[in-house]
Amino acid sequence: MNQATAQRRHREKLLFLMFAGAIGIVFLVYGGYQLIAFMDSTAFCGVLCHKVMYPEYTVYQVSPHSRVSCAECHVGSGADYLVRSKVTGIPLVFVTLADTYDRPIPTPVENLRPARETCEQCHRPEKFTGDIIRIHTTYLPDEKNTKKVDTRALRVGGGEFAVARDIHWHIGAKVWYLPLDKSRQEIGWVGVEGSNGQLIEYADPKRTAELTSQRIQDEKRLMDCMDCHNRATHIFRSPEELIDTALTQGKIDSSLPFIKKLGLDALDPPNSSLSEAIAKVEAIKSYYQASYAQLYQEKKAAIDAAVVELKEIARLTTFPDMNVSWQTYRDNISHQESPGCFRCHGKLVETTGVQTGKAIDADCKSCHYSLALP
Amino acid sequence: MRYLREVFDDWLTRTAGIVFLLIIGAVIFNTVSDLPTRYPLFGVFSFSMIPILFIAGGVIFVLAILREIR
Repeated sequence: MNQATAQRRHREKLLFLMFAGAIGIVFLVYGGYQLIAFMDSTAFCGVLCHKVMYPEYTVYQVSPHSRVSCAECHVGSGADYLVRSKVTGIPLVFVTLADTYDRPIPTPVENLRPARETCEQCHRPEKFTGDIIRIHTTYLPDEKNTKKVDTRALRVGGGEFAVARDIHWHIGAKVWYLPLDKSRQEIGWVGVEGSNGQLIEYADPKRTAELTSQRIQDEKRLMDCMDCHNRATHIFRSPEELIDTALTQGKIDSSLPFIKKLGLDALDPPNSSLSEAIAKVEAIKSYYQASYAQLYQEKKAAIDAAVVELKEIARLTTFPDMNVSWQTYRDNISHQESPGCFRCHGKLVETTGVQTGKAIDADCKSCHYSLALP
Repeated sequence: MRYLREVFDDWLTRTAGIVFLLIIGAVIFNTVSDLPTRYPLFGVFSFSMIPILFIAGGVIFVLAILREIR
């Protein structure tokens, strides 16, 4: 091979290598982007990486935010959040592999991104909602599944800083608080900042020893959506609540005698396995066959549909492997299953203002009032 | 064909060519196929090819280019 041929070959190889290299880099950049998108996908988070969190993933799929991907709230946009989430996730991989994780997994409220960067990207906190009417339908566990309707107006309110009122005043105003425990169920101190910057303070009189000004300064938090709507997505509803909803929707025929009671007997308290829960639900058919033979013939389709729905409710409420039930994670919205509003209301007393010594208003009518149905 | 035979007449350039084809193939597959999202475990395999090919391609292409420049 002469020198000219050798030079031409070198030139051709170099051209190929540089050309292929450049094209390859373009494809790899695009592939890297796809890789990040895949790691942020709900399938990756919920099915593969966070298999231990299947209770959270199960209820997420039927939640109001089921079309918001995990990463939009838990990771966030931008390289810094991506790197932070992956780095903080590395120790968790080892904990998972070693099977030494907590059951149930504690809610990492301290690591969640601020609601201002998540919820408020879609929901505008200053929006004035006014009063909204909620019709809450429940059923008694009797033969007729007696329907009970509670109609209530909620004073949601809202509005900008100067004019905010009612429940969403907490977001329109500047409300600081000091949680005394990790789950933020114990509030020791609250400070409401006025338009002149002056702070009106409230404190738990039983825990004043823990409320040093240094601790308040270091650990206080500005109240945001998540302090009340802490279960906006991973909502663990009780079988009772889910059966009531299914009866209202017509997924379970409310004319089936004792259907609510039978559903509750099968699913509450939680079963030791999903298969056990499903077997108990399946046994409802035998109950109707034995106790209501004629009705079973007439309404076989409705009974089958009710059993299918109750199996779905079993799937949404039975997580024995992770020790999770509807009582595990408290929902701060309202105050029926958890202290909710009463973490502060009726508990903390004013310490610096014209009404020193007076407890924060806990009058029911401050937040809601009953309405009679027409 | 003669041109290709001349370009790929050594193992380093041949490896670079294979890595190049794998990069194109992996990226196109990940773009058009829904298998990685339907089966996330398979998705981990197919998407993990990207950083692997990035490192392998980086080493092989740099070595091959340096050799040709010398």
